[in-house]
Amino acid sequence: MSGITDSPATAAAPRTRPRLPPQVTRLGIGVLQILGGLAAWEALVRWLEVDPRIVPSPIEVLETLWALFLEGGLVEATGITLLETLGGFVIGSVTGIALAVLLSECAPLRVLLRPYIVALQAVPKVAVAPLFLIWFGFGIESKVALVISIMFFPVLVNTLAGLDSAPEEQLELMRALRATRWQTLRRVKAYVALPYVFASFEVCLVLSLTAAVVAEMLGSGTTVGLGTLINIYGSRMHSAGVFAVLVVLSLLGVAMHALVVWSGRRCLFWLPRQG
Amino acid sequence: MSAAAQVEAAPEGEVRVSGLAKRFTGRDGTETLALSGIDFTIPPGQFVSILGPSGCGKSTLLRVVAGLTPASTGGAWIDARRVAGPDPMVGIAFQRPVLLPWMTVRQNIALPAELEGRWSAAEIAARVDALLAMIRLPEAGGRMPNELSGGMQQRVAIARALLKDPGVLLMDEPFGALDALTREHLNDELLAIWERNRPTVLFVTHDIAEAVYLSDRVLVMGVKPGRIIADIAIPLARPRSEATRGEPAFARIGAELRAMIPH
Repeated sequence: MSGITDSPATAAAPRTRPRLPPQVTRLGIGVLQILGGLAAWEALVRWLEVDPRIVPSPIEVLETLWALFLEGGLVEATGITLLETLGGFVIGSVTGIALAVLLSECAPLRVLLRPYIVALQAVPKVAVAPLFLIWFGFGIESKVALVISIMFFPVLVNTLAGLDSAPEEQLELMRALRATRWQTLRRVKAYVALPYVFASFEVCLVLSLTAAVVAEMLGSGTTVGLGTLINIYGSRMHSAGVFAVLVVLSLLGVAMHALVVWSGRRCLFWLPRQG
Repeated sequence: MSAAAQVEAAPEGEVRVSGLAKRFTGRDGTETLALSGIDFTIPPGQFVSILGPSGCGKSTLLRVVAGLTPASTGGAWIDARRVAGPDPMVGIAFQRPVLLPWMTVRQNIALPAELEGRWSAAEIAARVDALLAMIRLPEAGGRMPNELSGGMQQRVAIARALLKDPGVLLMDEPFGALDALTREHLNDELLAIWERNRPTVLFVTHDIAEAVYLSDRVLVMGVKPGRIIADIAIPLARPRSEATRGEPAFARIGAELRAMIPH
């Protein structure tokens, strides 16, 4: 940049405009991007005279979203889907990490379980959803079960790879300092594995939201989640309703992803920042 | 009385290696004799360097004394205790600093005591402060290892090795990766630290000048199999300084050693 814009305010020539802080600029660009996309959507729908039952205009979607929000059903459904996703996420991660630690510390168990893990991992989890419905009913439990099954293997496999990747020199240091197995696990291996664990979270969180929605769409008698709403509006040819739910799902996914990335940065404080 | 302050049976710090041989079995089943017929005794408080070309097994020898690698025949003894695993009264510094990147400098230095679990927080804090001053990094306690230069990291690693005030200090080419100037500087610091309590030091290096400058005695190793081919006393006066490097005796001993080392 030239020296003029960087000079102190008192010395600045009147023709130089005050500069906005970069965060404001970035936020402004983001808002413009979204508004531009919505405007193009609205223009296309009007110009091509698309049937609103097939593709509604963004204004219709927003109106529907607002109406559903006021009615209260959407908030409740969002809460239920969020509960299923986060519940499954937490349970799936904790059990996946726990089994990874167990397998990394106990080589015979690892050899024993490997074929089962490989076989189960290869099964498309969505295909198991009907079984979960039979076993756990049409309530929240069957959805949480599907989310757990989606989370479990990637977290297990990634954590195991992370625990295995502890540098030999660090393990040797711990041996030289007569560290117990538990101390080596807690003070070295856990930290080495943590970036791997967060990488699996980043991938799986959006998948787990998908799993919750799919499970709801496959069968939900007693509880109404966002997937159930999509089914209801879909069967009524209410495209604007489906779009409204999709907007909520997209916002949920983005928010959860941001949360994982943010907490990853907090937890992995010793790693050099990327990007 | 606190655990750390207790004097445990007055460790002398004598290191003895007797009849030591080490064989490695390769993947195809062939055996390699890495070390053979190694015998030496280091009296307490002596600074001894093991000097040899790369691949002579000097690091393996150090690892056997450290209890990190088992001997094939014979073995190592520390104050009449046979080495069967890492000894609590032995400090070790590796070729690389091996600082844990998620811990501060202070936490890294304190690690041996934290693992032992017999020290109070106040005892650890006081000891770490003293060591930080000793390695001339009094302000660095709160910094992370990756913020330090290679030389600073190695100083922190040496402080960690000294934390429990070990009777024996094992060092595996700790300055090998540093530039010549930093290395000479750290040689002086190491000697200054060593003069305080005079632990027994077994120092592996392939640098002749470093071995002469630091040591009371140099064990020269030959290759195939790794064995000790000469045991040379270094009669240079202590404390040593920059002037020592200029003494005729320094150059003469260096030349003698160079003539012995196989190529």
